[in-house]
Amino acid sequence: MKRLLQITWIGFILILNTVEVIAQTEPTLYFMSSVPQSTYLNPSFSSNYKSSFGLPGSSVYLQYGNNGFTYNDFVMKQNGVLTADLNKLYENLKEKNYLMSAAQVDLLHVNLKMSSKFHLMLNATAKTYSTIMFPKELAGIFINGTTPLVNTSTAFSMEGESLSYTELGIGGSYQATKKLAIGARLKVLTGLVSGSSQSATGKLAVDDNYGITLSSSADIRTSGYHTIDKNKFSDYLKNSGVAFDLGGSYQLLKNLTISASVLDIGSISWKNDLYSYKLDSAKAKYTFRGIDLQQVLNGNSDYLSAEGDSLKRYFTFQESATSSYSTMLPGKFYLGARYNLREKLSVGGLVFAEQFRGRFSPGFSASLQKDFGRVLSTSVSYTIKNGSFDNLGAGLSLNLSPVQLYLVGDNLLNIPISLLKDPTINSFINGSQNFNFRFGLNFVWGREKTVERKNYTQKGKGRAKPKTYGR
Amino acid sequence: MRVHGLFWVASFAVATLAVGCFNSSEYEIKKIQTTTAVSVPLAFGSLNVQDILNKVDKSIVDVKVYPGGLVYFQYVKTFESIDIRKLFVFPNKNLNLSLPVLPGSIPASATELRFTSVSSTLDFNFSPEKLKEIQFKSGNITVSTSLFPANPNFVFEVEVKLANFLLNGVPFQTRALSSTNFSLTNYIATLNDNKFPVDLALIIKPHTNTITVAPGTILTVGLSFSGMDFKYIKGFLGDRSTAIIPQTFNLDAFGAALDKSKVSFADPRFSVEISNDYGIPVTLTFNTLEARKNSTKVTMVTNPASPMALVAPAVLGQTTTSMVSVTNAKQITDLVPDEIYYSAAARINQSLTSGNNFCADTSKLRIKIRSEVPLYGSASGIILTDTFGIDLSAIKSSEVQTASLKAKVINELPLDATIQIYLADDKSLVTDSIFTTSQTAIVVGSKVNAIGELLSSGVYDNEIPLNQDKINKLLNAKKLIVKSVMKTVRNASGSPIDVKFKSTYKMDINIGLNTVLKINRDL
Repeated sequence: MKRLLQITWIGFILILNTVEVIAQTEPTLYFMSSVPQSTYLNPSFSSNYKSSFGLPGSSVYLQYGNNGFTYNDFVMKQNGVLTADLNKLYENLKEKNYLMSAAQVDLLHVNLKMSSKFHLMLNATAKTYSTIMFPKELAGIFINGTTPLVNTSTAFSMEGESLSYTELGIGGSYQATKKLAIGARLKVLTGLVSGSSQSATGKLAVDDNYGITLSSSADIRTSGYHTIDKNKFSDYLKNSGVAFDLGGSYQLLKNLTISASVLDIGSISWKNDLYSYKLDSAKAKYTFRGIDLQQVLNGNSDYLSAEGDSLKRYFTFQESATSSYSTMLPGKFYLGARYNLREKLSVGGLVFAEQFRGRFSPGFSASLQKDFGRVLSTSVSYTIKNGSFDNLGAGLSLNLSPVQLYLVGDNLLNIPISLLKDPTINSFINGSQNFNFRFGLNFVWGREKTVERKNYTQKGKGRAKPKTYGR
Repeated sequence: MRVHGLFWVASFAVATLAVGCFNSSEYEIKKIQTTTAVSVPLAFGSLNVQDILNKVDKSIVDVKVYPGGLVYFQYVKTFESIDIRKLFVFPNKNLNLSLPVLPGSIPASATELRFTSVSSTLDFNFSPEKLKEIQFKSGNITVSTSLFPANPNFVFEVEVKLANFLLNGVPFQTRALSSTNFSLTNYIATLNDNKFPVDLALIIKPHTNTITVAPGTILTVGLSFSGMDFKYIKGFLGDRSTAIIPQTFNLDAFGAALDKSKVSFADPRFSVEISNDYGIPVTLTFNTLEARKNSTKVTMVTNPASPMALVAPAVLGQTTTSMVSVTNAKQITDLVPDEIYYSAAARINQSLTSGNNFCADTSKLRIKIRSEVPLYGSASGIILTDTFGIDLSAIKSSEVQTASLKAKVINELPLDATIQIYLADDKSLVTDSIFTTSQTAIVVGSKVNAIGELLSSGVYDNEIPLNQDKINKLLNAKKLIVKSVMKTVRNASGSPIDVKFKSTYKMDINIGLNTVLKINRDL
């Protein structure tokens, strides 16, 4: 046990010190077994209901995040005037600053209990994800000026990707043994638009005479953007891909269940409207050394405008049609443990991560789940992710079978807390680096009340652990 | 479905509530502030002496390089004179010959009859020219006849033959009854001191009745030469004099840059070349040949001295050149003259009464004044001034915390220069200057050896701080007047030494601005 604690502590420290990037993870939802969409995070999970059904818009997920700064970090009131202090913004930037937005909308979802051991899951979901990374060095050039770079240089690289696709998933969870449940989901993907920086680097050097040399290179690929106004629906069908989710849960102890899942392991092959935008490092280089006295003395008064034209030419992206390319989906990983304290009260611990294009974004979450009867299920959580440590999440599902309303987010609880300090939600927005929530309406039937009650009666004081397949 | 609708209504209500709790005014940022330190290059250049001399008037002076790399000024101006050519103007000439017609009866004839003929010699009687040959560029001959007493039955023509007037080897020959005009253009006439032979013949035309010729009948033939000009003439063209039109050679290539300068060139070269197309002995006299600067005049001393006999070409179409050197070239170049002036006179065939001269219509005297001034010597007080418009009103003076200019000049030219930047308003009224006196020595001349050639570069590498007062005035200025005062390097005791400016010598200049700005702007 001591060894386990040591490993846990080391893992926690690693999480805190890992490069902070933005991930599309939903730790609060993970343990909310009352919401059928929690099966998206681990396909071995099955819903509390024998069947659930969602119409278009039945689940909407929105996320914004940045790992670098909050509004409060650089905007303040000075003499009653709202002022942005760029030096403070710079101080709060990370070495790599990610700005991310994501959205998902369920077009359809169906969960059906096919047998005592097997749940079938179907979903059609539209997803979009975009992120941009700018380095602190780049912001430093604009904010701090060029003097700090005299006799030295700074190199920077930017990243950006944007991905929109639809996902048609079919999967199931299977109760393999009394303690072990496994699940999988196959996803057929159709890409809509994609933009991806294969590379985008720059270097700015300032020499002893303050001559400024800028060089850069870039390779950006897009699908579906260049002739977006001419693309037909059938064109998008050319962008196809496959991905899968895998999950498992195991009842380790009487009240302790551990679970794990890997999600979105797959890629999309882009074939429609493919264009690349490139800056050639051999050409995209320019040194500004001031006004050329030789040109002035030679009476060449047009040379400055000629220089401007050259500069424009050097740094103009070369557009060309390009060949098919693939993009991996942002793959996710969850490792959780849930301990049932009482019949309708449990705690959970979750380590999660997202891996995308070489970036690893881990996080940790601790949560408490409480059902108030069969009508109201709640969850509160504390999450460390995306470089922020003040995420108090909450989940709420109102189970009015056959209707279920739910709302869950990893820092939703910050809203009422901020409202206590300020009658507006501004203080919440101003202090947030991340914000995500999922809400929606499901039609649900057949809560597994019989099984739940029977199981609980068989153990301890005549009460058994509810069958939750690993939560 | 109703529930689904209720869900969206509820969602909308929650969203409305959220928006209601949202104060958008908190995101209306009114100001932006930052403190930034900016180092930017302002100007650069790797300049050689030709670049620096680029503003000289190229229509006056060429900047050239000797094979050894020494840069020199070359002034060349050629003045053409046709004053001698203009001496030879030939007046119109009317020459008459009488042809006696024997009295008697001439029976009817169905054919022409060559009735009588006569050969004679005519004389143009030009003076003082005694021509041996002339090719006409233009000219006309008018043949006219007059029969006395008149006889209407006497039908005749006169045949005129000028055997020495050839066009493509064919003598001039024509017939005329009344006044008839013929062109002499391109005819070459061979003369004997202006004289030439003429043959006349009286031709009786076919007639059906007998013609009776009265005693004393005379036929007079008139030959009128008019509009005569030549392509060339040969012979003796006389002992004559003419004035050469005075000329001025503008040397003011530097504008006001050298107005207050003191310049000494170590090895200037001045020469006059006189090219002569005339096949005539010409004596040229310079009445005045001098360099001028303002009211100062320096007479150019020539070798040979004036008057000078010019070499004449031996063959028509050739040109000979007489070289005249100027022995006081240094005195002239040290003056840094604005202009060279001359007036002259030419005399041909001085004291001669005969000779074989020639002159073409295009013959000229060309007086080429040539000067080469190697940039080898010493100078001081050379002033270059330029004015630039600026507008820095977008920068608030309160935003500039500190500012300094960084100047790095690595100079291979043996030239010291002070540079001052004057701040002026839109009427060019100077309000202040950027540098203090001690800060102006920005260009340090190179060190040279005993023959004035580069030993080591002069280096200036300093930050020049600008105080807040100067910064304020700079930001308010509308014009910058850049004034540079230059001098060649001195020896250890401060005396001028002769230095060389070679084309390979460079002045590497880098000027940058280092400033800390505290920007506080309304959005």
